[in-house]
Amino acid sequence: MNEEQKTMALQVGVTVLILLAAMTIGEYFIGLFAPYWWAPLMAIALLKAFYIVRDYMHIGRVFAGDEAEEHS
Amino acid sequence: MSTGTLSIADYHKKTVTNRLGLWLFIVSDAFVFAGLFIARFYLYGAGVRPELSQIVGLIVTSILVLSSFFANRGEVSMAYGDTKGYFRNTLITIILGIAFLIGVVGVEWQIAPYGPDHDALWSLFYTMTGFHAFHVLTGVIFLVIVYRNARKGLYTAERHFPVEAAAVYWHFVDVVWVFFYPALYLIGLPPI
Amino acid sequence: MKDTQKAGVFSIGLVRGLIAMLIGFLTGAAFVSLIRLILGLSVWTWNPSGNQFGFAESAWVVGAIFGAIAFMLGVGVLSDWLKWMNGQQTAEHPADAFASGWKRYLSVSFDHKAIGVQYGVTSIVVIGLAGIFALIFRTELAQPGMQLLTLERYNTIMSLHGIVMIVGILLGVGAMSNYLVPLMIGANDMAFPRLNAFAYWINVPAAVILLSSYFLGGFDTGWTGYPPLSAKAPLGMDMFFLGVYFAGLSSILGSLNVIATTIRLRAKGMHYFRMPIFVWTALATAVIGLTATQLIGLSFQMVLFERVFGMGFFAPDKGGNPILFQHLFWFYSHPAVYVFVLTGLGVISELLPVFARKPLFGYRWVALSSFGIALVGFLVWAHHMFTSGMSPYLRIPFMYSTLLVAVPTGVKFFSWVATIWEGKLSFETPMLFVLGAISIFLLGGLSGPPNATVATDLHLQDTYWIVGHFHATMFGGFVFPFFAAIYYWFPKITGRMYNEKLGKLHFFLMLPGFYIQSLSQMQAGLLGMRRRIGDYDPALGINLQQLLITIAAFVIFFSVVIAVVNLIYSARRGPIAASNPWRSRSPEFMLPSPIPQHNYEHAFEVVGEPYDYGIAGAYVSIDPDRYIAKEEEQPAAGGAVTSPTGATTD
Repeated sequence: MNEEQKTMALQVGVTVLILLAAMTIGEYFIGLFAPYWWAPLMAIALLKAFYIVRDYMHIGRVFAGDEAEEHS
Repeated sequence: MSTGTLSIADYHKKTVTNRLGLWLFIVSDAFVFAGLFIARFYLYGAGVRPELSQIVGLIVTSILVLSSFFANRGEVSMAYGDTKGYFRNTLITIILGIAFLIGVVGVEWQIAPYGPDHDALWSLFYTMTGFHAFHVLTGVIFLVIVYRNARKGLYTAERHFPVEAAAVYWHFVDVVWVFFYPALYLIGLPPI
Repeated sequence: MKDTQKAGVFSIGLVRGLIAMLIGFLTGAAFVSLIRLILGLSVWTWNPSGNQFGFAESAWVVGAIFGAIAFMLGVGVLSDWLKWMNGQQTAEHPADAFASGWKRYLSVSFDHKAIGVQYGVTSIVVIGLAGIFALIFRTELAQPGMQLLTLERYNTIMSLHGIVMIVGILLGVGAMSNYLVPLMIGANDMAFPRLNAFAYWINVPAAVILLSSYFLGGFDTGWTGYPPLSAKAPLGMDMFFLGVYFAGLSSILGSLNVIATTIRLRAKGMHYFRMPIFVWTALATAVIGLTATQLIGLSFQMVLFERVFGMGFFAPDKGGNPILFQHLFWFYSHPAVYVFVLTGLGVISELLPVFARKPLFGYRWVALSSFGIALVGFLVWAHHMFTSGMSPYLRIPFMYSTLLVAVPTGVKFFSWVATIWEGKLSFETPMLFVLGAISIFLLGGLSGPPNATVATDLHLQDTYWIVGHFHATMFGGFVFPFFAAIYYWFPKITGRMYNEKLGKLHFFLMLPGFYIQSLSQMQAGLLGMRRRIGDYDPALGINLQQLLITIAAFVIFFSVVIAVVNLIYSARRGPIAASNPWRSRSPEFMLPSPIPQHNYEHAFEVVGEPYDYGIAGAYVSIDPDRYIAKEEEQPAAGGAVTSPTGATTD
């Protein structure tokens, strides 16, 4: 419930954005120069989805139950 | 969600149930997109993709990723009681969401060389982007409704499940695009 | 409270909904027609060889969608959500529009018991309709040659029989899980009461749209709707797709609710392995319904797009592939048969220990076998496609995965047999139906492996053998257990007892009727009768079997009529039932009959095992006398006229 925690939570968002941006640019260039590389592209997509689901969608909260509430 | 009179403990209990319901819905919805995704590769494999503007694809993808980032910021702000930060970030999210819709339906669909009835590849392109755009639209509507209610002062740091739900749904729409972008824009080459 | 006695016909939700649906339809059709007008396309068609129904196809489709949404608005299911959107608060459990009487069930109620009854009654009505379709085309098939119907009509009625029956079965499954799951786990309602009401009411426009297909040219594809035929069928095809789509939406949302309820609202001490076994099957069913149903919705939307927008997913000339449809379709439609039967098998496992006065044999194995069936069910879909032209190498893995289904199903069978073994059986109507269900499901199960084995399936595909097989599984897995459940919980639902003699008559007509029907179908199939065909060659030598099937169909229908008469009469005039007529240990039988409006006034705790019949100690910490004594204190409140105000304000 304090500023420090909030800054940390926001920092996670920034880190994930940087990762996503880097991977998207990587994808784009693979698509430009090696469009038959479907497996790496899918791997990147899975990794992107993993970060979004874990850090933006907070999938952990679904399994947290009644006790552990709030704030990641 | 009609929980203004509940105690904090009851509200949390209900939030856990609502969150589970939201995620079950997302799992269910994911099957539609998975079906389309599989249909695209079943029919065309990894060698062929529709002839689309790479630059538009990159721009709309970036817009959606950025909007997800701001949606997350908005939700975090609300969770720490910073309503101002919530309003600012959610407004940016909504604007980016509309920009994405314009990018896909208003630009990509208009400059595409063929219509949906040309062949199965273009049918897939319009259906996949169409289904996704429909979800973006509902996501924007969801965000707007929650934004409006937040303006009325309905949510606090302790009680803001609708804010979280709108954000999570928005991220889900983003995750779908994470898979659709390579499937439609990157993998394979346009048929000659 | 409003004076609902004097309220006009418009206070009934169903009436408002249907009127709104008509308005919604016209609005949608007009909207599309306007757009077509602007685009310079034809608005009105009257082409006897093609679309002879006025509006263009797209206008009909959009009109039907608008109609369904308008129905939901008109009936009032959405009003609380709309208020939430506006930032208003609503009571957790608002009072029903009608406190009592049959009108209560024609309007929106958020009480899971009312919704369960709504599901159940709708299910019987819809199944009855599908039965009438069956009688019509069975009469046609009683003799070779065409006497009663044209071939086109035959196709439509046969297809409608299939799909309407499926919708009816889904409703019946919804009835059982909605009514029973919260009661059995000690909850006072489902996790999402409004979603629950929504999931029920969407079935009404679904049924209306589905049945309207009969008047819009019908459809001749059977219930599977395979393209390319379904891409060319008359307008009725669109209504078929939309009707199934909305019914599927109901299935998805209902499943979501069942899962959330089971995970979140269990009573204290009710661990997963202490839940009544029915809850396990409802949970496994819900997992299938939640996920796989989306795929049938998707596949039907894709054909719809093909029809309306000229898309080419399944058209080979546009690079599409009709086999893709079959993959998407059967990815749902095979697991769907487990949706139909699993809850029924749960009812069997639930009732057997009560009537055998013995613990359920191998509780944990039976509980997990439901999930075994559900999970294996996801991996077997292509066994419907052995002759479809898909890659031949796929046949073998799907043959093995299909045969694997026999393992968890076998677990259930052995559990039932071991539970009956040395039990003190009593043979009331529910028990008769349970035993009948076991014998029939055995027939259905044993006729399955020949279809799963590629070598034999190539000959059996699309014959009446298949028809006999799946009617056996549906009767054994759904129809008989469903009636068992109705008779068993009837005193809990209505507070009155059904007529035992009529119940037994129902059983002793239905069981032989079914056996004659199913065995004759199998024999006719082995002798060369194709399914879905209105005529056959007398030289096949199956005239007698066809006649027997027809007679049996009438007998079954007649027995169901007896059941319906029995249930309606008993609900009004039957003798008052005891609160626990079957000496069950299940928590819902600790409550008075009919069950009070908010189920368990005091939360209870689970203190024992659910099926320890014949062993000392209770299952749940409810003292039935406390509720009964309370009932007697206020004799005026004994009926169904309790005022809901006291319960909703706190």
